[in-house]
Amino acid sequence: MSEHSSPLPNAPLPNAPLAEQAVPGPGFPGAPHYGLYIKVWLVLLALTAVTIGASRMQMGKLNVWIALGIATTKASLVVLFFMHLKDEDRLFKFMFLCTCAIMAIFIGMTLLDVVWR
Amino acid sequence: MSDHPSATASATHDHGHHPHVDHEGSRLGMWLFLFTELLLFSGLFVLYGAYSTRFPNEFSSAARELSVFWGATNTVVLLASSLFVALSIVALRAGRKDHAMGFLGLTILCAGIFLGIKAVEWSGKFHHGLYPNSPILLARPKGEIIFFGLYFVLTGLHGLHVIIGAILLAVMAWFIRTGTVNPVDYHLLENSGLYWHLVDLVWIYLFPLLYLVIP
Repeated sequence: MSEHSSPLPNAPLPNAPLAEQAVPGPGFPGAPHYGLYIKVWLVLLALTAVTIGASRMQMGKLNVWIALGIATTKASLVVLFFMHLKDEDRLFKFMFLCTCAIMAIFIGMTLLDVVWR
Repeated sequence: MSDHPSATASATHDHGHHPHVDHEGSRLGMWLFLFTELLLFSGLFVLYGAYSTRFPNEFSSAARELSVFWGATNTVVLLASSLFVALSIVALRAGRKDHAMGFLGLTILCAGIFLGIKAVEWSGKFHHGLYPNSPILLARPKGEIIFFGLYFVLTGLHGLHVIIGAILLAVMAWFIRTGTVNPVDYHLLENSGLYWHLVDLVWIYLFPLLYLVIP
């Protein structure tokens, strides 16, 4: 009986349903493709160019917020696609948003204090 | 009837031979660790936010001394490195171990280029007598002293993470070679990739804040 034999360590049983081995990624549980990642990367490059161009324009206080907005867009792409958060369980997404909220409070409230002192 | 000594064993061991690896739990643990890393860098970003508000002109003039060219090049290099590590996971899942190791090699190469450029930037500053607590720096306006302090600590801490990440990925490449990381069980590579993407994430914010925000 080859019930306990596996070709690789930690491999599920040969007749285990595909869902048991499924992990997030593009086209899961089928074969993932390079294409999506390359597209996301090209958008990231474009956004980098945009942020450099925008920094050249004199918009006063707005400059910081535009730079942060573009950075957050880039960060979202990295988190959603490269880090697979888009395909993850709702729990992971919720946890990540909690961390963002904590950071926003940490940085935002401190800034409020500094600005209004 | 009730003599099933293997029942307890099977709670922790599948098939009686290998411990069951909880891939999702492993990933969750990594995400939790990444959150602590984000909060670590947040502390420094709070300092940046507070002092750039206090000394806006001096932060601007000090930032002008940084090279946007090198900063932008490093941004492109890190974005490419993130792409390569993502592609290495794709390749591994498709069974292409050689491609997976190749992509990891490219990622590590990008890390090396990033660190090399950092070394060029830092040595340029050192050459001009600018380093934490240097007499030349201490003679500058307060805001500029703080800006450069933040610059060195932020890029230094980030650079440390780049080194750690590169070592981690080199170990992953070795694990692919030995089969510890394979198309069925690649949670170690996935987690190392997550760490690397964090390094990229931090730089995505560092670059505009240090190099570009010059009203």
